[in-house]
Amino acid sequence: MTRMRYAEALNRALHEEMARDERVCVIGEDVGIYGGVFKVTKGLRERFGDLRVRDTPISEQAMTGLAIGAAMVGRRPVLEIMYIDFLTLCLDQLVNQASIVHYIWAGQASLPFVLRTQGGAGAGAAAQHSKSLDALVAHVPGLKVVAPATPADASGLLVAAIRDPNPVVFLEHKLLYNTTGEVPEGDHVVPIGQAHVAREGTDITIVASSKMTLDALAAAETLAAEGIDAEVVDLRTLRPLDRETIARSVRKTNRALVVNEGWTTGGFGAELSAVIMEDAFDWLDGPVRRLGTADRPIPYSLPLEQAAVPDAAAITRAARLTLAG
Amino acid sequence: MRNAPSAEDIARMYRQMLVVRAVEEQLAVLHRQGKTRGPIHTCIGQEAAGIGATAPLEREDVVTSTHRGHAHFVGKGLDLRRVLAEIFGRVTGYCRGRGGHMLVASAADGLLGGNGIVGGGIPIALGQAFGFQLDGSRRVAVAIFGDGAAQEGTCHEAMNVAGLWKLPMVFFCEHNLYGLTVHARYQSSVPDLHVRAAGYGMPGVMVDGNDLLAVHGAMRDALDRARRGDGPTFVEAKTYRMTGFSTSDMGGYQPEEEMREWAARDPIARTRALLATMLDESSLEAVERAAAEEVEAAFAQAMADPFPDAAELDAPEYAVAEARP
Amino acid sequence: MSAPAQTVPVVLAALGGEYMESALIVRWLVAIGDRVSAGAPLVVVETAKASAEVEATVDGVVAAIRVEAGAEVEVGAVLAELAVEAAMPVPSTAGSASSDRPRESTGAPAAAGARPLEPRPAEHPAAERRRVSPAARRRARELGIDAGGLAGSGPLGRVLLRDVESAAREAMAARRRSRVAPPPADYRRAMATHMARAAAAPQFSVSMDVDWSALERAREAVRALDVAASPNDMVVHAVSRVLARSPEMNAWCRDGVVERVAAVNVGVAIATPGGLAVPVVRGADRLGLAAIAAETARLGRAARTGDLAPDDVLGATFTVSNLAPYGVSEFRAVVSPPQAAILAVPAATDVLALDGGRVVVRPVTRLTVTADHRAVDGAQVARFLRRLRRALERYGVDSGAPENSED
Repeated sequence: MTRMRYAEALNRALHEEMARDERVCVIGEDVGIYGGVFKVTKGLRERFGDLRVRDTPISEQAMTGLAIGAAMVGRRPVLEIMYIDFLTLCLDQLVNQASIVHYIWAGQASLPFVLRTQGGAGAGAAAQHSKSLDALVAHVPGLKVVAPATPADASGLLVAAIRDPNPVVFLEHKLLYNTTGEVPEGDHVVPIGQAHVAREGTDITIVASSKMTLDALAAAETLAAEGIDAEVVDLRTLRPLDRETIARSVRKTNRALVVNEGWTTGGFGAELSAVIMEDAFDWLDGPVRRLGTADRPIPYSLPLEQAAVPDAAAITRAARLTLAG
Repeated sequence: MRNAPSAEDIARMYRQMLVVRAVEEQLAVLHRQGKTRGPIHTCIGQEAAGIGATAPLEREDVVTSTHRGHAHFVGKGLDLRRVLAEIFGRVTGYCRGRGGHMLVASAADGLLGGNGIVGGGIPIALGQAFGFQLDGSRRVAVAIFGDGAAQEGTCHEAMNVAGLWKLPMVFFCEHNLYGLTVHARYQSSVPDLHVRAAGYGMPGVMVDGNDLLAVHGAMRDALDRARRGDGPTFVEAKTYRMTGFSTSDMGGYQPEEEMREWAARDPIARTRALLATMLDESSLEAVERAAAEEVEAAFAQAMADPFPDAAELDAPEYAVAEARP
Repeated sequence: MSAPAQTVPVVLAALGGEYMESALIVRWLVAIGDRVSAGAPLVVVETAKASAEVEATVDGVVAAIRVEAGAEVEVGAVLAELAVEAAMPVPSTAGSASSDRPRESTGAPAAAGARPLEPRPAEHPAAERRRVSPAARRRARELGIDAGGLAGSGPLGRVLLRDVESAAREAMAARRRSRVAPPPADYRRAMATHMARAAAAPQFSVSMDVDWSALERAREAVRALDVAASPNDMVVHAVSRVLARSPEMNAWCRDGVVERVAAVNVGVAIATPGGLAVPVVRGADRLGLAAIAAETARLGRAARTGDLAPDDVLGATFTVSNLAPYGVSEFRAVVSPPQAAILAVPAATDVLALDGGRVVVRPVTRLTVTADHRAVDGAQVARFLRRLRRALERYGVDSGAPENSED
């Protein structure tokens, strides 16, 4: 185990996979000479050269197509889209092209590429650089979507994503890059599609992912002091969703709160809520509660942004409401 | 200096053009009889461009095609019966009936693939060329698109990157004067699109798209250049769509005089006239008879082929192992 | 959870109705220290008529096991102790739970035991439909309780899972205090009418003594195989095989017309709180001993909770009535129309017998078949009994009965 930052864990995974497999290449804005705006691609160009580590023009649409085409002919590209907000520019290539190839072509080709991007509020980056668009991509069959919360999961899931024969959208969070945690040594792989129980509890299940998992764990500590023993399920993968782990937890606690940093209406929390209804209805002692970002463009000014986006205190309040509902 | 195609080569391409024409005319008949499903986009009048662009390719070269790709499928050497089976939604089709006529793909033949999104395939060809560059191979990626797609952002983004990185790629534009139902004069800032190549650091070539040898020659030059590592070429083939946008097009926007003018330049008649200077009449008739028989047999077989079982819907969402052309 | 644990006893409840006095502890399914949730089976017990599992009705940890496997215990005995944690707190209003709020204690200690049995009252009219959480609804269904009739402790009076659990515990306690309530009058009346019709048929009885040693040996073998089968299951097992070879006995007689039935559907008479029930093991000749035992256990549970479906009680082609647990030495049962015959199984009696010149003691059971003379004659019944005796005296768990017939 080595203690490292989330960004360092990602960087280590990229170094190891590029060294392990020469088909892996890294493309994106600022990823080469500068090492990435969040320093996730630091040192790669120096080590692996400017053919395999490519700074690109600000052409998100073409770069997404580039990743698809390169994957189609046997490369394993890792594309960095600097902000999840720019994912809207990639959507035709992701939704109309990448997602359909394996199924519509009846298995003639696979698309082993990773689209890394980061989202989330809390840095004062305002309405076009603070969103969480998990639901947008998790809606699409054929794509895999992961959203790790810890350095260990970030590293292990990135390795799994690079080795996966399908397009994987890898969601990071700008406030997680400087968080630290223990990361296992060696060939550390976290399988895609497996949630895990980040904290065991008996009174209520809080389902979360990415940064919201850390906030849910903090909320669970506050709740514990009140005598409420919360269980936190960290999804890690949004698609394909590990329904089994969610259902098992809710069947144990009989109460469920789902948390996602995306907008509330039509957000990923709605999917989680529906899944709990389908898989664990007969074990519920009250309605599922959903917590997401307020249904407004994310405003800039600090008090406005804080009011819009869930945090540990909001999760604590929502958990109490869930138990009272 | 390249070798000019032999009489045998021209006769082979003539036969392919006849096959495409016969297929599309027969599809139009079947469409009126309600025996096809969904819209069908034909390239009647554009066969010299479509066959001239694909026939000179080697098997390991790849093509991204369009929604109007029948000539590309035939030129790239796909099995006509399986193309037709795909069009009729049969399980023997290239995509087991999941794709339909716009989404035919054959990984084994490097046809990757048809595309229902205007301009959608261009950045994918860019990525394929990027992969070939990394591989150091002599393979070339060809993006075929129309004058409509030339106005899409993907085209401009991809041309910039291809010119910048000197990728082994050909941008082949079938300029048929209409984007949907609207004449190019209402869509394009310039009447001749190849002039844009200069802005992207690559040569631009314009040819008579109804002249098989002219198209073939321009394409051979562009392929040679790409294989030498000198980068991409933009080939603009001026041609004309002698039918509507699709089978659902009500027509009425193509002036009579324009239609008559282009009918006089029908590429099939011109190719026949050219061949008549090289082959005797009975040889020509033999080619024509062979084409007709091939089409008749392929239709009979494809239409007798079985539909997929509805249970095939549940084919896996994800690839479990890498598959590539 | 840091709340202090308390222990609650797991008590042997009357599984088989008012006649049950005791049960044999066959096998423990849990060990000390195991965490169990409500509904989890704890121990397999065997009564005179059936095998059953005693379930936990609360979540907890097995703190002590009071009786060893192999022991016979009386109803009401404590089988084990479960350590349970104090119940979770109930936030009173939305978002206002204070941080230092003490946990509430559960009050009365929770009991555990076999499923409590309460007759299901009629559904409440829609207008009076109470709020019941999905979890409470599911648990109530399992327990045969009407959740809508309970007092809810949740928001807006919603009945929660814990309310159902506590109602179940109360029902258990009440049950232990007073024996089962008398069965509904209309059930007894229906049974009386049916029996009167039966008495109108010309019936006769034939008895035969059967050496019960093989069956008792098989009982040991069954236990070693971990199959929860009672002696009566073995009798049904053997009877079904013999019936398959004796089609004249596997018949219905309606208005004097005899119909031999292809399926062998063996009715098993069971005493329930509501009176006698005769659920049916369908296609018994095609089921192995374990499957027969599982089916009689299921039917027994359903009979006791009043959950028998029409399919569970209709279509018997032959009935086995077993009064061995009551120690009777011989009895005749009444044929249930339209069936052609019924087998009465009393308790075995030890008799002295000669075995190779030595005097030995053997358990012998006097089987009696009562039959409708319009369907079968005395010789046919005697032949059936002889086949059955042979099957039982050579009983093997796998075969049920030897295939070769002596005639």
